[in-house]
Amino acid sequence: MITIGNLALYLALATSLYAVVASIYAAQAHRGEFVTSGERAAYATWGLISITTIVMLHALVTNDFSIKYVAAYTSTTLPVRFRLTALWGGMEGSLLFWTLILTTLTSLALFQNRCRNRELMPYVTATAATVTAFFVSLLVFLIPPFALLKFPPAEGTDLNPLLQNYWMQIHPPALYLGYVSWTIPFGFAIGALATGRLDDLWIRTSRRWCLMAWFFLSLGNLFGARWAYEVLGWGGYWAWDPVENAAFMPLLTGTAYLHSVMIQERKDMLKVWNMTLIILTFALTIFGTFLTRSGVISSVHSFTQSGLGPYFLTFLAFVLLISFGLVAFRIRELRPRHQLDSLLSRESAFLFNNLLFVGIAFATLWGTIFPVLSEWVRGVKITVGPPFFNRVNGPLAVALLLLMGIGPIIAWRRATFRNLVDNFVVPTALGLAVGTAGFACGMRSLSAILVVSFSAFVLYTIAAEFHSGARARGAMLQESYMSAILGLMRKNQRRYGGYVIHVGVVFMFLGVTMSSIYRTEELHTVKKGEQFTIDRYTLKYMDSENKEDSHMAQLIATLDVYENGKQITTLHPEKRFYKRPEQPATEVDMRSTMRDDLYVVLGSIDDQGVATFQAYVNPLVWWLWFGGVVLVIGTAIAAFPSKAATLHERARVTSTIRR
Amino acid sequence: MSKRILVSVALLALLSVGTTIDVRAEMAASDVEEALTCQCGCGLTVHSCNHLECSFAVPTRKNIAESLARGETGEQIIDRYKLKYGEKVLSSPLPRGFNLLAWVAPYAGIFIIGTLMLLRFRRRSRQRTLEPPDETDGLQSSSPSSPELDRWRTQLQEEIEELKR
Repeated sequence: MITIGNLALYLALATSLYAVVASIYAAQAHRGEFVTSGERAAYATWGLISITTIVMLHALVTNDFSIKYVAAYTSTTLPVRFRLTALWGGMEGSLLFWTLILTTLTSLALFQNRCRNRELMPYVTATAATVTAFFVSLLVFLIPPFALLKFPPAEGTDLNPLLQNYWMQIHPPALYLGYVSWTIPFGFAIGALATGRLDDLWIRTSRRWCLMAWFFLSLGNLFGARWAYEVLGWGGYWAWDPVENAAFMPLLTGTAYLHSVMIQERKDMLKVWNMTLIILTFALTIFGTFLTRSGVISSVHSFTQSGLGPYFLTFLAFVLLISFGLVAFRIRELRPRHQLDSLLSRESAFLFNNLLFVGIAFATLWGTIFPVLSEWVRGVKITVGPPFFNRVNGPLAVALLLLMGIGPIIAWRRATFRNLVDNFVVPTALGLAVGTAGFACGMRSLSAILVVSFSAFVLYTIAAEFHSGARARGAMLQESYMSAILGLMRKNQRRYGGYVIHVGVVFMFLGVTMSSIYRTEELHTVKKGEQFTIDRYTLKYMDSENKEDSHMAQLIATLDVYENGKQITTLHPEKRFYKRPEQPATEVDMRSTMRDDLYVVLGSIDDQGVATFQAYVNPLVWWLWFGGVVLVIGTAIAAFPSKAATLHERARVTSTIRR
Repeated sequence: MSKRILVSVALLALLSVGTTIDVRAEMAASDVEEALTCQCGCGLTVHSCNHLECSFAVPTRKNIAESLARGETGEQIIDRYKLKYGEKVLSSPLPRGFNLLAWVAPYAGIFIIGTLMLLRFRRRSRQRTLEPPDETDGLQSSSPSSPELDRWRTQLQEEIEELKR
């Protein structure tokens, strides 16, 4: 089996390199047969990487400890579901998994475009195959996944206990899908630059890929936050760790791109900017991989560090050089046909929105690399932690929230005074009223007041957009109000799906702001039968229980929770002691409601049964996760293929073929 | 119009900066804990360290509480830890010397790009007023004369966009 895995990997390197050469030759020499040959090589790479992955999964599940990777990340006591997820628990497996996703998406893109965009496709193939060849060569030459041990151990070291969690089963795949999916739109952008087809063809073709990449990157970040919330036991979900930042930065530039690309489609503007954004987004995905695996910057995500840094940096430099070289080559053709008419316009709001997104991405990048810079310049080690990022990015994010409300209601081209009065008076008054109400209710944080005010402003503007559209449609087509709303969303999925996503983002803003500013926390040491109070909850420590199996020992506490003298639930926070590697871990328990989360961590229980608990009350944090659900619904609305869109696309393809 | 926008942007910036300025008469224990990075390797602040029996965070929290009770100020406590462990113990760089760059660069970057955008827009606007109207683009070329005309033109444009969808 191992020989098959290795052979498939070597062949994958050969086929991916052939795909690069054949596709570039085909495009340059206009040789159709080489286009097909290059594409077939890319399909073959996918098949070969799939075989390699199957062999690795087989080795992980069957505990083949002769393989170094399997011995390092599994054990015989590890449940099978975690043996499978050990594929992304270490460096070699995670890069193999990355390559599998990349080749799968490449094959899907090639199949999807087998009869269209033929001019661009050789470059798409070449770009995706170049990235594949880079990853496969790392696996072949530097970190072979099937490296063997001379003396296989009887038992493996096991998977890091922090990774033995449900969220770790879905967080890395979602994040990797998000990262890797940006390769396809990047490939189309390179194709557009190389061929000179700089109209919005590449944008329309890659739109769903961008949405998919953005969606999975958002989900990946959210799942990671949820994992941190449930597993790390510090009551928070985002610590501005370099690796978290690495996943956050492409999400920001990708979101900026999804907004600014609308201006190119409608107004034929911002072509250079959009190219820059897609290149930066892809480059940031490679930079993120570099950060995770280089060990250059210290991070709690240290389980996949190695000496691959220089290779990633070289590849990153190559990507930036080629991409911006092509942009420079086409700079004249990328000049916009139209200009901004007024600074008081929707186009301008989009521009400011982009400025803020890129500003936050830059601030995050700057804060992430500043410790390295400081050490390099001054020779002094410093830390750039959460307080820095919160202070620098917080105000920018609040301004972004405000723009989210302004964007949908300000007029295209040029807003007149009348337009501003008509559209802004009511939502502004509502925002001010909500902010004042917040202050009257005891809110004293300026950030919190601004966020609730702006949230009310944004939610009103979105509701007004739905209401006015539904009323007009209902009157015109004699539809009921609900049918009109559904009709609106069907007719213009992108616009209304976008609004639903904005609603989700507002919920996230509220959840993050309120849970960060108004969090309550208490540390209590109590005997059995004693109770303590936090916020409006009273917690009574009832009992503790020990459990043990071959994999771990568990110490479980039982706490009855009371609110206004009435028992509302029982919580069971745990302390776990994993046997291989010998490592303690925390399993928090919580009661989650729309109002707040009661979050309890068990610290210790001594021989006399005296227990220490850290308890938190996190207000409105539920809305952060619910915002994620709304975001999923919004993306589904925006991206789901509609009948009208399919017919339009079919007509476009037919007319292109006839020509 | 550009002046008005500049004023609005400046106001927005002031509003934004306002949220970063934390006016406090004195630092509470949690503020001091937030200003220090835990040295156990968790990557979190002393306040947030998730190890309930952490060999650094737990004694540091105790020391901070006792020091504040003795009358030591938050700044003095932070300085003491900085002297003992070096700058790496601070959770964010002090806005002094080279480290000032960490705080200033993001806003400076946004300000520079924003200013360049405004200047470019103004240059293009001036060019446009000097150029003869483009006959191929009826909507753009007809000289805007009154706010009423602007309003109709915007509405027409929006309706055309709506039909295109």
